[in-house]
Amino acid sequence: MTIDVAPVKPEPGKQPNDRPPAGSGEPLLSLRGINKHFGAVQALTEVDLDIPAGAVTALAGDNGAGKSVLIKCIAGIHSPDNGQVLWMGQPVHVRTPRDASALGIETVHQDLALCDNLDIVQNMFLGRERTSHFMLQEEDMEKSAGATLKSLAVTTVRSIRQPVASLSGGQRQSVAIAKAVLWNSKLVIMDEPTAALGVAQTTMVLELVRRLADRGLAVLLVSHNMNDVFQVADRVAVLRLGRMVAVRPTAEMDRQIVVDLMTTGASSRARPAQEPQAGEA
Amino acid sequence: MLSEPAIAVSQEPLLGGPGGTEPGPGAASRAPRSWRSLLRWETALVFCLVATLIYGAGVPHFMSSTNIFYIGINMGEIAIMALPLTLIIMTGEIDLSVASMLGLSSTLLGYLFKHGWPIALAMVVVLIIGAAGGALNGFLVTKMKLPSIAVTIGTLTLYRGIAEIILGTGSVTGFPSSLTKIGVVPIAHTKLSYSIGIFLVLAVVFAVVLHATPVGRSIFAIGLQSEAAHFSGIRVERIKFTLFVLSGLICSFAGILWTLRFATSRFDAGTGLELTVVTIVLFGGVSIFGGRGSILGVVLAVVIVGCIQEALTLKNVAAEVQNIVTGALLLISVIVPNSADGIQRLRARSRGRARRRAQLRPTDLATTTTTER
Repeated sequence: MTIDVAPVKPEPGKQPNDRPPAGSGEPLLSLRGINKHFGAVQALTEVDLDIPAGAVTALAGDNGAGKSVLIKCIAGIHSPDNGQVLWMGQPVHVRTPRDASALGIETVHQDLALCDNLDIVQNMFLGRERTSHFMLQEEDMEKSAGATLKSLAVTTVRSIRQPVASLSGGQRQSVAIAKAVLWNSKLVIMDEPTAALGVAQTTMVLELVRRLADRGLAVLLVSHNMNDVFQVADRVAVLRLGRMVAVRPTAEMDRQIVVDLMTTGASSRARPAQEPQAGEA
Repeated sequence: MLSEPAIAVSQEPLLGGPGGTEPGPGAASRAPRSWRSLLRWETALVFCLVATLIYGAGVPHFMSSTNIFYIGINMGEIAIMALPLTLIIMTGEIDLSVASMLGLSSTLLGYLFKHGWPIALAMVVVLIIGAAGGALNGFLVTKMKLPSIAVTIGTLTLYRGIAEIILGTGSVTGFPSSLTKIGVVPIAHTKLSYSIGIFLVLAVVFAVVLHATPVGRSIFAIGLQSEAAHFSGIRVERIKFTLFVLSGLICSFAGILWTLRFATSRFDAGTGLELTVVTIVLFGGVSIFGGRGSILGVVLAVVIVGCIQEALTLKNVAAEVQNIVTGALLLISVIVPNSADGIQRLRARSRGRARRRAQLRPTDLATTTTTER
């Protein structure tokens, strides 16, 4: 069952500056009727989702709702059984993480984003090292990595040549995000970026997320932490048992509505009264 | 999450916070650890080499210049096969079929030569078959997702079996003496055998590829965290497959050298050599779990193992005892780095505990004693 994809307007509350009007024109990425099953388990059923540039779209859902499967379908780790993926209006097939990067889709995976024993620069350029005559250009990469970290105001790391194993959780997450940004990516997908982080580190990472969207990137934030969702997201998409039950601007939601949608697929709470389209099987 | 306490205490992770935070002593000593432990292993190898040479100096004829030639010629093929195996082990896989591939190539070269093929053409065919044999390993490991240790034990037996069918217990001789001279004379103006000369050139190439190119960086990443590498867009399967093909190719090349060196082709050429090759790679500091190692270490290991074997042979030490030495080296190279890691982990843990204790001390002695336990 597909629910309307609400038109997105820039949220007035947060930062009324020069952020491009989110959702103007066609969305950056559109999913249409995505299905995915693993054996007998139907993980995703007819999922539709639009992700506009310049906005944070939160993907909420209970454990097992299919959040991770959905982002893996976008990131090229799983391929959907059927359905359409439109990138800037064009149908695309994303079969490998490489395909995704080529389009400008970068994913910050929960624990698997970084190689522990490689240093920050090596990690940020992993798989796309800069070379000249097939040789690694270490200094060049070091400069760019440093500049990117600085532009994102990630200033707490002592040296960008230290192995990421020696970083705190928040720093690791910042490096992983900076890695995603380094590639002029247009869409950054984050899988539970604040899980296992302390309060201060969570704030740091969420600020970073906000900054990406303000730069005009599309951000898809997977989270089941309502605090995170309401702190940074412009829109909330709720998955329940593999179905998209609602996609709405954050302003039209509150925590209780999202929780209701996550658990029952419908919410009787009156926020704005336009609620009658509950997703039924 | 090795030394979580040491890190968590020392960080003040707020964005744009006032200045950089003072790194804790734990973090400071930890930062360049991977490099240092690597260097340490190679330093240890250098000491080991010096010790071997001192020991060798007491052995009659060991320090003679012709002996350099003999050490080189004994180690040449083994050393060459160790190079691609180094890369394979760095990715966390293994290839145990190396010596069987050498044997199969030797057999095939003899067989084709006996049936009147020109030697050059026979060599090309042998190299192609070698690459194909490596591709079979690679296919089974990367496409069928089978564990490489099982696959290559299988092809170890398979390739040797095919070699026995081709040539039986007979042997082929009569190769052109212009080629077989590589088993008798060194490279002009040097004391190096041809095989070890080829090894040194290949070692430089491999070192550059492993340590200074994106492919090398990818190999490290695959060995460290295969999934992170995959998610970063590295073609993990393709690289592994290519490495197995490379291994097959280079091992069949080693088979050709082996055949020419002995001027004989037999199905049992190089039986059991895979253990020496694996020993050299691990002794060279390459982690059996992948992700750590260097070509320099492997080159040093080649020299050390070559010298030890030669010294023992000159002392008329029995072959069985030499095997024991090889086995002991293999065990040492696996045990020492891992226990060093373990010790470091313990130390980091106790450091974190000490710091917590220091924070607690003024107020609460009771808590201190409980944390201590």
